[in-house]
Amino acid sequence: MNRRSAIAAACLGLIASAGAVAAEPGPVCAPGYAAAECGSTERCEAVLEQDPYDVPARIALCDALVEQGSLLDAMVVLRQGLDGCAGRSYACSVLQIALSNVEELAEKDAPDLRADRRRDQAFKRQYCLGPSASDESIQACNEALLSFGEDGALYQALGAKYQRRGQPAQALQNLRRAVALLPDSDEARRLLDEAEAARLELADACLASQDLDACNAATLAGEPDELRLQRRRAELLQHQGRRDAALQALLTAQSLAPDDSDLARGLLPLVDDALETRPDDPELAAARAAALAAVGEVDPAILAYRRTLALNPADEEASRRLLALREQRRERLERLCFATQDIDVCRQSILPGEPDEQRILAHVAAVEAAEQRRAEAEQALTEAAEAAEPSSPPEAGAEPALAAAGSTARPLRFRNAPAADGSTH
Amino acid sequence: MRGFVLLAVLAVPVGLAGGCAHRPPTIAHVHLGHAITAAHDTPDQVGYMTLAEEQAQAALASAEAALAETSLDGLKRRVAEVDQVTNRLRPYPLVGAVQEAASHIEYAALSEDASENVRAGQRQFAQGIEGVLTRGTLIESYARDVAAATSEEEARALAEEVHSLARANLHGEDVDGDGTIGSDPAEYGVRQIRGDLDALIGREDPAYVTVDRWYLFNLIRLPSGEWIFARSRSRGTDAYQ
Repeated sequence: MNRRSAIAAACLGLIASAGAVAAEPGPVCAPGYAAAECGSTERCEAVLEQDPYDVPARIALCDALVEQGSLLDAMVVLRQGLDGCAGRSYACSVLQIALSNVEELAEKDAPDLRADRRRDQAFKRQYCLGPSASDESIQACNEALLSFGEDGALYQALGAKYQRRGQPAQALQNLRRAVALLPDSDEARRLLDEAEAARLELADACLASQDLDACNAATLAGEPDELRLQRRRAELLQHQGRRDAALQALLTAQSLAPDDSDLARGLLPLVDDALETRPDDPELAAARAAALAAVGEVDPAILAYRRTLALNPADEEASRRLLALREQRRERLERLCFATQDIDVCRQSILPGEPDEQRILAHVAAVEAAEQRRAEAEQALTEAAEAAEPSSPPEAGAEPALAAAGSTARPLRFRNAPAADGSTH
Repeated sequence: MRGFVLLAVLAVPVGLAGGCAHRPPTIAHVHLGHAITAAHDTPDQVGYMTLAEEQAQAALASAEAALAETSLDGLKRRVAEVDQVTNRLRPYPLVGAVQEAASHIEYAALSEDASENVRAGQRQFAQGIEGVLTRGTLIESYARDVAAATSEEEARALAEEVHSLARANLHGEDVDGDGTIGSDPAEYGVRQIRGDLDALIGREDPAYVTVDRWYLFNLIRLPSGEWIFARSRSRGTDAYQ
């Protein structure tokens, strides 16, 4: 069943795919459609003679013919119906879907088509195993691997082709699989050794020169030098003005070394540029957050992770890293704010929307109160009340301190906190 | 005058069949004759399998010539010839000729007067040509690769493969290494296919007799699917009983 018919079938509430239907007996032509109950082919044919536009009868006739194994006749009946259904879109759709279902069933049963498939598979396998290293032969290998499954000879042939094309990284991938499947094959082992040596040679050339092609050909995921090669690629790409490609290389490198501050410094300007055109890209947002964290910019990193999670709430890695950063921030606040009377540091540490905002303001209020700066203390308390969340009660100590300063502390009001009457503000 | 024409129409097939004592061939045997003896749309009106064998020989000759070439251009030209004879030549390249032979053997098997031997042989024949068809596709792909080759070394390696395939298309190949060519239909070349066809004919009872060319060139199919001899409107054997 083609995509168009499948969509149409879904819209009409019909079941597509004759194969699925064939596995369990039942109507094949238009499952889910209320076919007529004319019973036999003769009776259905008689109905259609009276009214050729009777689609339920035509579908019933189709099913009867399919049940008899007369798939070609069923297709003829449906095509006749389609010839006469112009302007009756629903009828046409039902018949078209039915024809598609029967054709699919016929294809599965047709010896000629099976032979074609068998021949095609044989061709692809042999072409893969042959000496060509063309794009088509590589495609043949990939398709043969899909048909024949894990086959060491095919992997070996594919690896050899990549090797001949000067693509040792791809060669290695396939030859490793070949050696795993053909552990006794000296040829597979020899080719693998060759590919490994070739890749290392290219990696050296990449790191020692401006040879981007060498870098591209040598870079292979999972190799110990992958990080260095990706960074080198990024350098060379940037040198060529290919900022998008450089960004991709650095993003891959970042995934390998997320805490590398040098890498992060190189990445940040590229990410910021990219975010100007793709501000809602969660991958870029996460990369920016990770880079900020790597260079020690804890608070901007927290904000960046909050943005990442706003774009992709399911990003568990971002959630985990945000928690870790908040813990770092808490430790810093304990040391530089809560353990001191330095309200400037405390105020500078405020991050709007962070759970600790209210606690910081309450601490500031307490310090101001303790130093008899009533107005400033009240201002801080007001801000704390505005910032507070029901789940984070105000820091104890601010109100007593205000009282000590000769002021009547106002009870803190929380945003969204339940009022006495049960309503919310 | 009218009586004369009618007499002539009746006399021609009867006379060609050797007189009233001889029966015309069965429709099935006429179709087999197209594969073996003669067909109206082949060069020199040879049978499809005869044509296939000639094409396989020509393709192999070109493949051998390719290996003897000393220049990249010459090598490309020769390999293109192999592809031409195998896949593109009009009216029938090698693969077209074996496919056409298979079609006529299928017609034979579907004829009402076909023996069980022909029906069983048709299935075997259809399997037997698979190797030639697959090699044909491979030759087409390698010819494309050779045409795109930039070095003689690369083109020569591909030409050697083309040569192996062209050779297998004529002589068959021992794919499974059991020392026998033809133990599996995938190993068949034109010679093995022809051998199977000859064996099929040899098993026919009543015996297959080489079909006269008149019958071979005057068999037509009616819209109903029925086969008749064109000028006589005779329905094969029945018309002569």
